[in-house]
Amino acid sequence: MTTDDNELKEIKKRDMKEDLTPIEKYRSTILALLFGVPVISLFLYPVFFENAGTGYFIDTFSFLFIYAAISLTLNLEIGYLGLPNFGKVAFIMVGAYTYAIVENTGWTVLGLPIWIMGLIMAGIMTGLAGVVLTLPTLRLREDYFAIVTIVGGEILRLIFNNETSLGGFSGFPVSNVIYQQREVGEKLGGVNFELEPFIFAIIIGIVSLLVFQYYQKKYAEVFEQNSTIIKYSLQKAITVSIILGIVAIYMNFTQAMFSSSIILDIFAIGFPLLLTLLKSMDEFLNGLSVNHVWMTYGGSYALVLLSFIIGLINGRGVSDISVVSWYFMLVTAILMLIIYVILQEIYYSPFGRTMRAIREDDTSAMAIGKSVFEFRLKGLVVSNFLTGIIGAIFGWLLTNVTPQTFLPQVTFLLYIMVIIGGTGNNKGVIFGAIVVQLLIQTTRRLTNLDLYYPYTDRPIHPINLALILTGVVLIVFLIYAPEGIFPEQRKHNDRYYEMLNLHRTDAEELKSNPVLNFLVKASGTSIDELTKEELYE
Amino acid sequence: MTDEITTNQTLFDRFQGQRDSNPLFYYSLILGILSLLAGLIFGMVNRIASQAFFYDIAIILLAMSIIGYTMTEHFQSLIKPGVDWFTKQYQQWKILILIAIFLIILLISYGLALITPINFLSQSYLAIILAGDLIFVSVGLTMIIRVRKFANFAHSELVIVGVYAGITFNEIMGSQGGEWYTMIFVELIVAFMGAGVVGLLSEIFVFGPLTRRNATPLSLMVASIGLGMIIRQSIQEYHGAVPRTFSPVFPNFFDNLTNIPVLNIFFQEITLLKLPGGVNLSLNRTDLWGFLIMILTIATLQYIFTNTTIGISMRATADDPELAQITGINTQRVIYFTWFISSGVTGMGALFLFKSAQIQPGSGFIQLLLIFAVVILGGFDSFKGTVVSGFIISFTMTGAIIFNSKMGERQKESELIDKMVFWSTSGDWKLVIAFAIIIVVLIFRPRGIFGLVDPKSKL
Repeated sequence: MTTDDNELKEIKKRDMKEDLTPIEKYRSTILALLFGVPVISLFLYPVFFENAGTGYFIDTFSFLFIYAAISLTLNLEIGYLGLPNFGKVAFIMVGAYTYAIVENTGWTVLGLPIWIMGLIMAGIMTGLAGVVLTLPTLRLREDYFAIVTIVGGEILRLIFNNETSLGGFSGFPVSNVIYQQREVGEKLGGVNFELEPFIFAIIIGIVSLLVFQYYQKKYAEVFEQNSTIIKYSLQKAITVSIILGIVAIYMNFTQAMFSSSIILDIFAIGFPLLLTLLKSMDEFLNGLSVNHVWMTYGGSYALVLLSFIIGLINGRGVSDISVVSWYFMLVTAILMLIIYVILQEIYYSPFGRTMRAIREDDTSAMAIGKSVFEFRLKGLVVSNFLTGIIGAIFGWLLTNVTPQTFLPQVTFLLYIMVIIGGTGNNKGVIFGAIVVQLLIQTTRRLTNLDLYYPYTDRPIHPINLALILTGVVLIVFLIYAPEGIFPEQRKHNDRYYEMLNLHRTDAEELKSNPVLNFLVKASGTSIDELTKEELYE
Repeated sequence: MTDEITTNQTLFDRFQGQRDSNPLFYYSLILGILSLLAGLIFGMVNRIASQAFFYDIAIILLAMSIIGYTMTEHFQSLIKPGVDWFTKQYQQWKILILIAIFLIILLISYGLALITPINFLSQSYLAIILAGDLIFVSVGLTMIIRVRKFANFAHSELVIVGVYAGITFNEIMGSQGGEWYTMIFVELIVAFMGAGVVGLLSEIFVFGPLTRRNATPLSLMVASIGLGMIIRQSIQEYHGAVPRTFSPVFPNFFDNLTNIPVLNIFFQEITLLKLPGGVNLSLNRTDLWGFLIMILTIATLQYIFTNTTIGISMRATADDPELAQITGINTQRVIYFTWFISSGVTGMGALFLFKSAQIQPGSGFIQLLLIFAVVILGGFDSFKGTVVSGFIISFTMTGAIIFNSKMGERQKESELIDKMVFWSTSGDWKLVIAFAIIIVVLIFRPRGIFGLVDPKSKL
């Protein structure tokens, strides 16, 4: 190794912040535990100490996943694009209302089922609404844009509220498609947690991990780059787990091994389905990111863990869960995961890179010929299309779409989720959404506990206290850690260091070099960001 | 040049600084054409209810008068030292001319009110009173935006704090109703202090630290949303979500003063003016006192801003904080003072805004976008604009109410129109109209009527 290479390594080491103190290194984990543990224990409180029914779990989780999905799309707007869309709730409303209107009129083309037609129309109409509401205002400064969107959303809500031909005050009824597919009223009586699927999941995990390690060693002799090794060995591991997942589905259908357990359904449907999806995406895009794989593993194991907890609670003999709400929760969870994958894909694509460059400095982006307006518009259309579909599914959950559901406060809560979680970081946003939504749903539940302040007859309202706490946490985060619990990952781009032959200079000097800055921005990225494809190519 | 202008310009005009060109002309032209079109359409649809046609003329006349007013404003901006006789005359008699225009409108509208089924005069009275209340609660936000340069979404909570400060004060004093401290003049001070202290604390604990860490206006805005949530939920935790009323109480000796000829409208609870032609106009003393106190407050604010050291330091801080600091102004103290005064004024206005309404901790939030409509239309940082746009918004809202009732009459007459028109008369459309103004203004003229700051420039 030459001295130049050593120097470069040192600079990279310093830039990658490898010599951090433990607290700095595990900051996100500490903060996540600090927020997550109390909220989750508060959530579990009514179940273990009040003997509450488990139906409340399922509804809470459905809300949770839907809010997480919406805040992910909101993250596309604030985190990627830097556009503060404060009318988010209006787009959810347009989606839900479009679905409701399609369903109530029964309008469809090409013989499509009405619910598919409704979802497509919800997406398209919301995308169009995004264009109509934001097109004239995209050129405004951030805070003016925020006010226009919040007011536009409120106008839409008032029109829906006032106009009787659009449902008026009482809104439209919506039927849940999942509920139609299965018989309503079917209860999960006496379903206990079964060990077999859990063990099977663990077996698949261990086998695929072993396969991964085996191929990692094998490929280490063939390839030089570490990323290439990881990529190919992960592909092998995924293939193995897909085969095992198909076996699990087959066994579940034939009921050869297990009884017809919902838990197995989660595992057997959710897990391989996502992996297959990713596998096809992988081939399609000719590139696979580690993030997807970890998310898929993490997501499916979280589902298994969730079923473990709920099975445990269900085993206590209190079961008021209907099968359909189970399936609905499953649908929302998979929806959230799919949206996560889509957004992650956008994040590392050239489109996402340009969006982030615009967020950092729109003037430089404009200077190298990127149409800022066009990219913002495209980003908003994508985000609103997804929001519309989620809104339609939110309508399924609500069963009655009314204007009173879509108050501006919903948008504010979504913002709090995104900011606490970490703007620009999808994982953080999901975490923020889960924590805030769990806190609110749980405290709403705790209202009937009849607590009083000491020495007075003033009742304690846990929901108020939770909202006060959320506000305080938001402000504390804005002051002391504006980047949130999970900050956006910013990595350095080796290519530019080497290409410009500037790596021998000091890193600080390098970062303040105007020529380099301009060139880096001119390529549609930012100096602090690493193109992901570099890592895997 | 400056001497010439300052002789006749109002205090607020000086506060504005120099303007390149007066936008009002183009603005009012669009407004006039729009209302002309609206009037024509209104008239055409109105063939069924023929009498109401006259009301349309009133709308057109109102629009024309606004055009007239703004046209003269436009001429005024063209004035240079030693210009022609007419403009100088206008400058000298400006206020009288405006009053004359106002009187003419009043006379015409009164004449129309005689022959139209709708009591135009009392609607106008209600609109004026509403405008006064709106201006009262909005002027504080204008001050904050001017000095601190961000959109404070917690402003609506300062409004509600003003009312709940009064309620809490009465509860603590153990009021049974009718004590000396429940009188409106005491409650105004209580509301001022309560809201002022909350505003001051919000600067000390939230916005100050954020600014010191170079937060963007957007993150200040998000922080203000969080702060608003904290304040609203704290009030709800203490007082509960039960709707309450808090109407101003007047001293007993007012009843002895009802014999005074003209001023008795301020002392009688309700004065019923019977005008010729069978038109009745009932004046409420609470409304009138609210309007009076609003005028007095704004006059005091004018005085503070132009004639006192702290006011001048305030304007200096607003224009350039660093430069102000170099010249020896304690900008931190100035900012604290601004928060205290503006929040206090907002709290005072809240007592009149909610004088006849059921209030809950959440009802301040409903007023938030309306307040923003007033502030945005007037120009984000202009007092004069706030006053003018307060009237415009309130008259537009009243217009929407009248339009609504007229459409209701017509829909009863014809089922065809009921099916054709996208306007369910059972709904409440006044807020839709008021909010639509925000969007139209921000799209076509983001700096508002009188605003200085271009939203594309650095604040």
